Amino acid sequence: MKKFFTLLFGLCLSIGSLQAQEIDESFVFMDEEGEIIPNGATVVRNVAEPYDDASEVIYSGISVLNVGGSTDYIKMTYVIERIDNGTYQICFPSTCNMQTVTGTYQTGVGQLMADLQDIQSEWFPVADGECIVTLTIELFTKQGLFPPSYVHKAFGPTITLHFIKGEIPNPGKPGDVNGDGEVNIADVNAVIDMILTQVIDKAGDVNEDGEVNIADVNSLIDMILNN
Amino acid sequence: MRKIYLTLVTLGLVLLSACDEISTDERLTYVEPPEAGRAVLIEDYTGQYCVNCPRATEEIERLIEQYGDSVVIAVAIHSGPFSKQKGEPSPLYTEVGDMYFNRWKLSSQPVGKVDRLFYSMPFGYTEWGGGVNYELTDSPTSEAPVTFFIDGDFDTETRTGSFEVQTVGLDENRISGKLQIWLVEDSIDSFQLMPDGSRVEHYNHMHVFRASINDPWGDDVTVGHGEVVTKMYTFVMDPTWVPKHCALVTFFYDDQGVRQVTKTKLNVN
Repeated sequence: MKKFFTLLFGLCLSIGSLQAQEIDESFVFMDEEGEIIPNGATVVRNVAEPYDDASEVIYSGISVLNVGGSTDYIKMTYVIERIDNGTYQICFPSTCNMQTVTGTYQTGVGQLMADLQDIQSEWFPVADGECIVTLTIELFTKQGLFPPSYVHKAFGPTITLHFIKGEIPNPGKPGDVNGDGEVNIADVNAVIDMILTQVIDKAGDVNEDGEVNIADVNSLIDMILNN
Repeated sequence: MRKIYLTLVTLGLVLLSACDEISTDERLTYVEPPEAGRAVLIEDYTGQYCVNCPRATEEIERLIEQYGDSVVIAVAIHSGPFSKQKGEPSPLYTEVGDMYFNRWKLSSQPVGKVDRLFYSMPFGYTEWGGGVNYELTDSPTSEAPVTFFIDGDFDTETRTGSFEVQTVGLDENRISGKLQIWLVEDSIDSFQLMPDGSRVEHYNHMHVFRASINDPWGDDVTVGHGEVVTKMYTFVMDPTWVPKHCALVTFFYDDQGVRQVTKTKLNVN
């Protein structure tokens, strides 16, 4: 029990610090319907379309909107948390990057080509599976003519793209966040990790309210204590 | 010892293979150095599967329009992940180009080098214009320390090119560096993915890197003021390349970057 309290105290401190971190929303993510995607949200894409005669693609349909005509330079930091097969690709704002393994990557720094630019973030699967990528916008100011230096200004919003090809994975039993077949402290840690890193998986939404937050940690603790 | 023999045998095979298509000779003479305008080399690391790469091509065309094609000399090096699909290389991919891409530890595309300035720092295409202007005006290396005279012929029957490159020293001090000669081809009809995601089947690819005529990292050259180092080269061209669309891009580089570059159309017989 003492361990739980310590954990919760640490979590509260961490959440406090996260809330204190300013998110610059000069640039925001937007979905295909023109709706702004809130910071921290997870977008699930599971429609594979033919790309050419021999391959398929799952488009994210995500764009970045320059809300107030900012002249800042931006880049995307993206963390590939999971890629079961195939290739993940992003072309933003002026370069293209392609990866096949998990890791933390960055695009080049540049300006948007238009106020609304498709980030051309796509997964090219070669078999059923999942690809989970967390995207974070970072803003810079440019100094000097050549060679220019880009000075960090702020972090923008973060979203998670969850590509699924084939059957949607079995969510498992309620509370089994890490999918190991048990509901215990490891699942609490998994949810806390999601909250702290903002790499959100729907499995962390224990109370099924559409968000992953402290309420899910409380629900999990209730489950464990009541079992 | 056996390992050393094996290495020597392998090295011998590689040299024989290289000499089969390319040969070189060298001599040193003296002349009165001419005036030489500075030109700038843009190495554009690009790919046919890269949707943003045509934007970089547009920027190159804009810079050539602004400065002239004898001042801005671009080479499109098809390489990296966007020149392959499922491991299969695109038509314009070259192993040498990919070797450069990996040697420079590049990751995104398009990305380029402007005269290999600042320890060969890669720049996005939106910075290339600033780089060209810097190199022609503000840079400590804006004065060319060498110039080139290139003379030769291409025999269409044997598809063999033979030419000599004279590197003339202009600097007051002796300068050492590498002489590099690339073969590029214009007006190649091949596909390209476009910024809107569409695929154009007949895209006009310009200044495409085809091969390095000499060693991929160049030949050593040391030249003083008024000295002329002459090197002879021969090469046999791939049957699918169009000689009248080909040119030699010759440049001299040292640890400060590319110090002079010129582009010479093949003299086709």
